[in-house]
Amino acid sequence: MCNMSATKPIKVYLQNDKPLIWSSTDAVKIREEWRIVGCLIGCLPRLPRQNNHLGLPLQLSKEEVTLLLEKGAILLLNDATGLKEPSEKEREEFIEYREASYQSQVDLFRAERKKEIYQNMANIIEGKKAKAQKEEKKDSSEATEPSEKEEDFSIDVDKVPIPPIPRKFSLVQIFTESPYRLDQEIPAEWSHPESKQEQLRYHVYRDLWNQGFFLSNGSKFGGDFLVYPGDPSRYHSHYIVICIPHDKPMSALDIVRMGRLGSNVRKTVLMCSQDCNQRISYISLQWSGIS
Amino acid sequence: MESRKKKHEHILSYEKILCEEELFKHRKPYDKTVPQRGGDKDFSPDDSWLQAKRLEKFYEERKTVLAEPRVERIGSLVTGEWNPDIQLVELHKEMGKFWSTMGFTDKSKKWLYPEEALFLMETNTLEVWYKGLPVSIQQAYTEFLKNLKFEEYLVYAHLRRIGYVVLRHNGRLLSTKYERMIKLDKHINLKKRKMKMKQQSVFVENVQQDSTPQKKVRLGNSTDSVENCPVEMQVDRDTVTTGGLSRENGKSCSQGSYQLSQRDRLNKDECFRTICKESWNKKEGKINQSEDIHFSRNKQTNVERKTDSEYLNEGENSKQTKCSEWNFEDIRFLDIGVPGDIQLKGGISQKYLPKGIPPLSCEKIDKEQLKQKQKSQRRKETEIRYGQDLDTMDLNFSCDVSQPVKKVSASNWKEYKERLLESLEHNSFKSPVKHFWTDGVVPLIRPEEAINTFSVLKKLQVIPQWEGNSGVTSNTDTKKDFPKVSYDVYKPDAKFRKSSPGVPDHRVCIVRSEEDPPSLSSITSLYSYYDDEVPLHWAVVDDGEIAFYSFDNVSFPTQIFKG
Repeated sequence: MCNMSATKPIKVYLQNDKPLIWSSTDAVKIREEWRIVGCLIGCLPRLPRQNNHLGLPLQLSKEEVTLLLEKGAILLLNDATGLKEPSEKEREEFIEYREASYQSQVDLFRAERKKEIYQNMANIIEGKKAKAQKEEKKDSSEATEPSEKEEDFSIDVDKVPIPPIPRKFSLVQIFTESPYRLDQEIPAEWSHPESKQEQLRYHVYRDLWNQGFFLSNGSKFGGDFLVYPGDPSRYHSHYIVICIPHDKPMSALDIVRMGRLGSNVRKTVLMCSQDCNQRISYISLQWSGIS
Repeated sequence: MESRKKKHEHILSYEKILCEEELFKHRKPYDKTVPQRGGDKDFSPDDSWLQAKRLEKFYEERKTVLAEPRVERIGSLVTGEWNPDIQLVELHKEMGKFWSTMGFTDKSKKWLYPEEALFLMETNTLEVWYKGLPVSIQQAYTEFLKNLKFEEYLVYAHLRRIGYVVLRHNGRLLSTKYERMIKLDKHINLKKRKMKMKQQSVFVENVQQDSTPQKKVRLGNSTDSVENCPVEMQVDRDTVTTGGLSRENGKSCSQGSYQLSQRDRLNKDECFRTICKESWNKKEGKINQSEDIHFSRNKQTNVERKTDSEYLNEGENSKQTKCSEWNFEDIRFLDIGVPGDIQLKGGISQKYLPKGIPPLSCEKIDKEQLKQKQKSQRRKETEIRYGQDLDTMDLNFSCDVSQPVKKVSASNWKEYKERLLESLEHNSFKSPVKHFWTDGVVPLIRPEEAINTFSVLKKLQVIPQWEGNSGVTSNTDTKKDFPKVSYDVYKPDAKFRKSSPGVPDHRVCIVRSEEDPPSLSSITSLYSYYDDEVPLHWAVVDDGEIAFYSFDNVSFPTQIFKG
């Protein structure tokens, strides 16, 4: 089953009624430890202009949030990171931070440059020798002594002049996750599941999760969920879950539709419902011909 | 990320920010590869070491990629200031290529819409500040999307990432299909159109009365339909149809769409000056000798030659004065249709004749004699052709077709066409087979209705086929579930201009998966409202997953059976 970690709960922010995870460590943890897939919806910093791989934030579905709340794995917070006017002191603090960052970047750059020079010292000296020899050939009247030249070519690493670096070359970070400290964290209210259909969906989700599967959104295949035997990145889904109220009358056309749906994509359709004893019953549909 | 001691009185939680060494490490992007999508998947988990290894590798890669920070040089970042009252970002300076497809200028300041700003932040182009501190993307997701639906931003970012130019929806095009076909919409001066639109209070979206920065929408090719305007207004307009071929008109047209060479323009100008104040009295057929005909030659040397730049600056103002010089009611054109009516009194004076022609003698041309002459000539011709005198043949139709169509008057072209159609329907031609129509079983069509095959076949349909563009939008019930079109999408094009984007390549409507699909009535009202051929897509968003659907009209061909 899942590995219940004893560390602090994952923070999930409810923004515009969507539960979002902004921390990358949390996004990783929620998949590896809690078997929750979610959906990445932001641009990937490494390669922002493509749609195959998206980045943070990670959006969770309603069922996932309810489940995690039940297990005590997350803390659902109201988004109190709304913009408020900072005080003078806070503004100064930020300016100091930027300035300090700039200065230390300059130091780092210089150190890096010195290292480069030191590593390539041999090449530099050779280059200088060759250049001097060329010049020597031009003015052959001057008498030169080789011993003097040797001294001229050694380089004192510390005295090499490095041009000043303008401020605009300093690197800054565009913050994905809000870096500002919050005074208090307000837990959000969560009222899912409400309607009968939502309740049914949640119970089915929970039941399947408890059995060790990975579950994800099923709208691509015309169902409620997709059930994976392992991580969705490594395995194809085996089942398409369709939640149906227990007493809903179904026609033969509905069965045919669901059967065709599953057989076209080589997945088994699971019709799930919950009876009066709160037990989930599963009926799978296999499409076979009469031969 | 390195962790530091959390300083309680500070605003920044340093454990979440990169330290300088980390920042420095990221100064050059060393790895631009993304993990492979899909690829080799196993069927089901077996406890093999290989599978475990692969999974571990996947997790590692994912961790690295997700944890990567957004690091940029200050010099390559554009900065802006968030204004929460009007929900816009004020740009301090523009840099880079995004300005050609995003943002707008108002009151000499540059503004960005919140979805544009958020997208630029996510692509590491823009840094937005609010009262001295930079806004993080997490905060922006809350603040910037207050008036925008979350799903709308997701679709916006999705389309922008793959390169489309996505603009907020701008209302439907007001130019008709015909105008677009003859490219009339591109020629018409946009400013004049806007004035006319305000007068006629045509439905325009995006117009607000407050003083917030407003994108001055030149509704691109949404030009006023020429058909709907009264004829007098048309004449005053700066259109190609009213001979707007003068130099001024050519210059003031929208950029790059109507370019005449300098030489052409001057020639046409000269032509215009030759059609000037003359008055041929049509009824009398006399030349009014009191007024002279001015045939002005090419008087370019006398006319002040304006440079191109001057013309550009003049623009519409010069045009207005030039147009008003003409008094269109006084211009009479010589009626050369009936040669027998010409009566020249006293001959033509020498000055009207070109050089080299001897003066005409003052003969009085006899009208009657001329007619007789022509008649005898014609008779001779027909005798040669047909072998008999046409006058003796009875060439009359069995019914009287000389009845002219009753004259129809209207105030603009559209009305005229409609009334003409109506009169055609009501006109009862004297038919020799009138008794066919009195019985219970009547003929299918009348001869005058057999204009083309389509009209004949239309009569054959018992249940008329619904045409999508029937223009039925007056139904007030449909206003409730009229889906809202959110975005106009354009293909990426170097010639794209924000000020006149033109006809969009796609339109997008955004719905959540929990909502019902659109009803037939809402689809039909949408398609008749937007009666151009721009495809309309529905973007269905389901917890972060986006899928596009569209409805297309399918028309079945009318079957024609032989025999």
